[in-house]
Amino acid sequence: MFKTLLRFRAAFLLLGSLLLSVMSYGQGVTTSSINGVITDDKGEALPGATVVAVHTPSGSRYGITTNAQGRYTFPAVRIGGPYQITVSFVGFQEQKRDIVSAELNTPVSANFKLLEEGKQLTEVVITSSRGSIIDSERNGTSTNISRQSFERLPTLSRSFTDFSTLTPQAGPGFSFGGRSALYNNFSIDGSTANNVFGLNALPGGQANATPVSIDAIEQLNVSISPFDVTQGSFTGAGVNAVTRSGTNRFEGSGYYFLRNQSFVGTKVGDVDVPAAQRQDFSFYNTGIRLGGPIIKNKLFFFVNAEQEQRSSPAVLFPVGGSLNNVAFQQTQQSAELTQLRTFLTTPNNGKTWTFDPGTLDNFNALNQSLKFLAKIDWNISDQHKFTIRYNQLNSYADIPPSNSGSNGVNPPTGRQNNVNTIPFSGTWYRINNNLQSIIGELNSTFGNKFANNLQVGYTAFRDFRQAGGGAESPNFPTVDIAGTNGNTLTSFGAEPFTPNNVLNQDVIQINDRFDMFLGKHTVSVGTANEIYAFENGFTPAVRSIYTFNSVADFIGNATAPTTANAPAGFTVLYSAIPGTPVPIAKFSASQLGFYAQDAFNLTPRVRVTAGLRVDVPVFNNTGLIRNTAVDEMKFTDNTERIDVSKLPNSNLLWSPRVGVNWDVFGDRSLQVRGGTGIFTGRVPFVWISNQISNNGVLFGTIARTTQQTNANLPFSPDPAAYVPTSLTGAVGTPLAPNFSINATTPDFKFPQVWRTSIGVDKSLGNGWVATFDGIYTKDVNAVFIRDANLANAGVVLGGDGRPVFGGAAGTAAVPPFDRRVNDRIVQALVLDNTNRGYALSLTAQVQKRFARGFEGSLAYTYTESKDINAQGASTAGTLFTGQSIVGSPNSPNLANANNLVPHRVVGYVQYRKEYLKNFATTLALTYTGQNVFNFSYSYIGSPNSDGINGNDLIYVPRNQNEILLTTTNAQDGRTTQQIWEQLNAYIEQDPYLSTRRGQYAERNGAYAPWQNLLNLRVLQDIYISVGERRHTLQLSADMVNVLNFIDPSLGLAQTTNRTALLNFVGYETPYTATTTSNTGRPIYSFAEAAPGQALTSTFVNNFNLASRWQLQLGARYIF
Amino acid sequence: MKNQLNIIGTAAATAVLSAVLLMGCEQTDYPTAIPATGPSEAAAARVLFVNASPDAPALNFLVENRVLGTAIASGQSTTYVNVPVGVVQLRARAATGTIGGVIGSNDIVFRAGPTNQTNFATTSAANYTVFVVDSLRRPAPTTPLGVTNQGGPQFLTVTDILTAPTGDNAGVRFLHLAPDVTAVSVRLVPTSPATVTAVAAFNNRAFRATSVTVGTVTTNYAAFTPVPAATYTAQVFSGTAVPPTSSTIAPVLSVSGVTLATGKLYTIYARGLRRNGTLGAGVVLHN
Repeated sequence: MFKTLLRFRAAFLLLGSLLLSVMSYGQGVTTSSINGVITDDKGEALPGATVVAVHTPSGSRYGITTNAQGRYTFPAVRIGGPYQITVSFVGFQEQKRDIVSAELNTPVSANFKLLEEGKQLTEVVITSSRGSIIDSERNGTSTNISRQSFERLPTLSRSFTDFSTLTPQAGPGFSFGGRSALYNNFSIDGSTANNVFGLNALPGGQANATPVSIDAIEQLNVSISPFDVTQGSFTGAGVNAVTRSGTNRFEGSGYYFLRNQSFVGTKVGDVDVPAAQRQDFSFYNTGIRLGGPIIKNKLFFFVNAEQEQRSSPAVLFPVGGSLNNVAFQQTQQSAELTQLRTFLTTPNNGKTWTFDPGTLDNFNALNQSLKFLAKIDWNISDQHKFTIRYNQLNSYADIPPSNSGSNGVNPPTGRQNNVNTIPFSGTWYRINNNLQSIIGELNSTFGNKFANNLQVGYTAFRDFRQAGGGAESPNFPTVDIAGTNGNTLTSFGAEPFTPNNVLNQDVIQINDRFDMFLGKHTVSVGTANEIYAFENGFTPAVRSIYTFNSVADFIGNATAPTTANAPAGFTVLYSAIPGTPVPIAKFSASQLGFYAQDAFNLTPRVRVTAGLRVDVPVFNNTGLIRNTAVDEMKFTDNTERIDVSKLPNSNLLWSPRVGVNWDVFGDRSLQVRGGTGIFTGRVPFVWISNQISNNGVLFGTIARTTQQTNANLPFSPDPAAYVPTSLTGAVGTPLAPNFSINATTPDFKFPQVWRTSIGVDKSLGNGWVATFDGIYTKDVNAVFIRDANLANAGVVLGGDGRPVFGGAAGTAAVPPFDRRVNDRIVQALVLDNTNRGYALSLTAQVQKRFARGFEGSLAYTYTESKDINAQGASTAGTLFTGQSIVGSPNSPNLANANNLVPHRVVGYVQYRKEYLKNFATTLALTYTGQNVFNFSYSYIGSPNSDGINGNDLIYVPRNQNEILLTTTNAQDGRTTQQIWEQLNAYIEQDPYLSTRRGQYAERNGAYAPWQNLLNLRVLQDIYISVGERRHTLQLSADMVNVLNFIDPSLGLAQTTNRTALLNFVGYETPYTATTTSNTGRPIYSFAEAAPGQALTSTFVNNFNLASRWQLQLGARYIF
Repeated sequence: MKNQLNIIGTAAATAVLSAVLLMGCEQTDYPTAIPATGPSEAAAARVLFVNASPDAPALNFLVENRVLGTAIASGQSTTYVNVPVGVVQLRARAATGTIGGVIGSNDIVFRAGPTNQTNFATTSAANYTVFVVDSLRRPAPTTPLGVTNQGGPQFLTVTDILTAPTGDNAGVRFLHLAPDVTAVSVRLVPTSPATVTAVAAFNNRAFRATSVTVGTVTTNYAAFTPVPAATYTAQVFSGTAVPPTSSTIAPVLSVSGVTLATGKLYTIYARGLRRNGTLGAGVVLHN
């Protein structure tokens, strides 16, 4: 650790000494900036010269005069272009220059040399430039994706995430630089559009929707290390989309894209894809956009509306179907299913109620989204520009009932449709992800010295569930019924996790930045504040779950209950708070940020930005309930106290940053840029919310799993039939004999990283630029979760060496007999911090910006990313249980991060050619080559007895003496020797395990094979010009995985056959509360791939869409 | 020249800085494993196999697919053989040909539950007797739908506490393994020497039962009962909770000449099929 710090400090010092330098004032995340120096022809600065920049399409004017150093700055100009800049000064000739475009996070430098009046121009300097890769204001690592790319590069999903992956440092699932996607900040026009609660990286994630159409995006910027302290709230990447604005021209487009199952490849290698993975579906995406002037040069509008729908059959294994001539269980028992439906829907047949469970016939499961965006831009004056934007997303997806039970009462084998099981349609649920967002932004300049940017925004996220098809979830228990072969036959009633499942998030933003142009210095001060309110309801099994052994049992039990037909299982969840039928986790919090920054030129070629930001998270404890039982308990080391009603204290999180840009030759042919500083993010608030919902005192439960004792629980259609009518005990007294709690340490800090980057850009001429980027990120406060109720391990696993914990509830208070410090507490998960963890990414890139119809880029990135606690979970609980470990889950080891893709090549080319006056053809290709994912080798079961199944990493045996093996099941025909030979051969062929003999496998230590993914888009434009207006009909074809289309054996993705390699079946000596010292060695089984067929290879071709070509056709009218 | 220097300088600086960044990387820090250095040191468990099925052919017994008993005919048994400690797979297979009958395969496998595939668990230094029981022609007509055991040849296991009986006694236990006979009661009537007069009885044993629980009291049928060493006639009565005292009720089976020696442990079991007239008693010597 100390060594690492030393190394890091060395890096920092070296960087500092090499790059003494400067940074820029920050451009806003919604605007660009234009700056430069006005001199006379001898190079003397011209203070007081007038500079006017006009955004030509909209006539938006920005005017300023140069300062004492001859410098001018437009701190916030509309992105896009072209711009015309006019410079005038008494006694000098006026000069004009056009700038193609101003881009996000990429300021434009435009220096002018004025000639005295009467002087003949010795040379005509017409520089047409745009925000360029080589620019003094660039210091960190960022990638811009422009409207052109959205219009021309291939995409099936028409999601901006298809484009953000063009960032060289991108990883899986909207992650960047090997860090978790949950640590990004995504904003639209500066308004926070993250799912800050964090169930998904982006809003709409559960419904496969994105919050904004790519037709409404002008530019997308991915910033990984902006040393500009005005940017914050992330330790991953800051991703910002700026939407389109209207101009003086009415412009618009209408479009329609579609695809279905016949647009998908059916061969993977030389194998035809199985029918189950060739399901019918239909997809369309259609929309319009329109922008134009309301008052020319003054007031503009832009609107976009887009609808997308994917529809696919819900029932793939219908009643009446069979596979390989074996009838499905639902086919064999179709008579019982009919009898069941008739029984439920017929009145007065031995019962007094009726219930319509829905159908068993096929229906279409829908996945739909509707996006709407409207934006007004108002040029109040040259000094004041106002923008207001509203956008809305309504999206949903129909999802089959969960396979899970609750409180140990589980459906025999899940609920979803397969060869044994068919749920009634009423058990499906619909997840809705809606969002409404409004943000206003006012950019002002005051004289030549001051500028202000004010943003006020409000976003409401509304996620909730309904029954499938959008109906109310039935007020009826969940009933799971087993078939004759022991598998679930059918389920009906309410989906158990749907009632009251709601997540409301409200985010208010107030940001203000004030810039002062003080001679050589641009000083910015400002504040960035987000105020959050959350309401999260989750009541699993609140309408009861009954499981029955047969249809006959259910009907018998509902009419004439006996012990023989009693429910095999029953559970119900109920409110433990009198007067509050549905307790919901509610809390509010805010993150307040303040900053100051100075940007100045240290030397004419070296520009430095130095700033300091402080973020203050504030939590509101109002209304949180104490747990009186927990208040009495002591946890870790028999000293730690936990108060579940107390959220973390506020603390000041400082983020100093310094950034440097060095124009090595002063001619912008070679620049070195970089910086170092602290970045402060936030955690997904669900981890905090878990403390409120899992405090042990909101709910009581009843759970019964023994049929013989359930005779007194005959089926009732009333979900609350067995809920206690009067609660005993005061609020805050836990009802359950055993329960889990979540908490945060009082001084818990939001994530902070220390990030250092160095970049070199070399102009290669002809518009080509070669870039090198190195980014090193060191965790300062990383999130680490521990179980404060986990006692220390008592013994060591024989023949392995890892610690072994006691049983769940032993007889003694000390280990090794009992792994729980307090017997009532199953887990006490406490969010804490660690400073271990880092990420490194090194990128080499060549790119050419758009010119003469061509644009292209190719980049290779090497990434390393390690953490202590894998960060990717949607709850604090899975953050703890979801990561693989060797030792105690409370002291996990440094290992690869979930999103680590070590090697990645990404590139694109696009070329457009207009011809024959009425035609244009565009060809665009994107390529991604990478090890698609990483994975861990672990045991099934829990050899270390920590109460968490499947999280123990395997020991990789060198020889047969090091592992005790047994057969997998009664049918397994292998001798111990044969099992070892198979396991040994597997280890030998595995590229990872063969290097880990004699050691434990590492978390995320193994990588998937390389995949080459080439996507193509062809656009054919047919246009006619009427006056100044061009009407274009554009036909498009997008193909993903072209290589697979060319040859089914190319472009394939591979997946793992099995990462839970070995099954822990027990110890030589059964481990009981009375065993004193040693458990004996663990015994494992190594299952065959199929009976009589050894598991011989790590990877297998993936038959899903990742391996197969897909085509999407579209038509668009543009004017 | 200066430009070249600058380029070289930039390249060198970049290289050095990248190298420094790389130095910030760390290896994973997993602890060193302490693997075993030899085979398991746990004392082996021991298993004795008995073919008690009325109509199964001669069987080979396998543990973890290693043959530990060859061609054990109905009514015969192996001696104790060492097996691994922990979860082990038990299997019986026809010595030649197929087993036939309802099992429909060539294997009899040990299952702990209906669809459960958990194998048999042994503990260190323990002893077990493993019987193959039941007829090939099951299912029994009385098997109700939904019960976990549908019948057919299967394993029955008991744990043996091989503590030799004290004094002039032998140790005896009785198991009912004749599939088509309802619960039986057994009387051991001594025939010689004449000094032994005590009659031992094993009451109301259901088919395949290895224990019975009445209230909170569990009687383990696998425990050996001490009886005086002597030669006995074993009388098996069906349909009565206890052996009848009246001699007018004939036993369904009477086996004479059962000699139980001092200090020895025996399992006596009813075997065969009543409907085929093949009822008999099997005797296994455990020490």
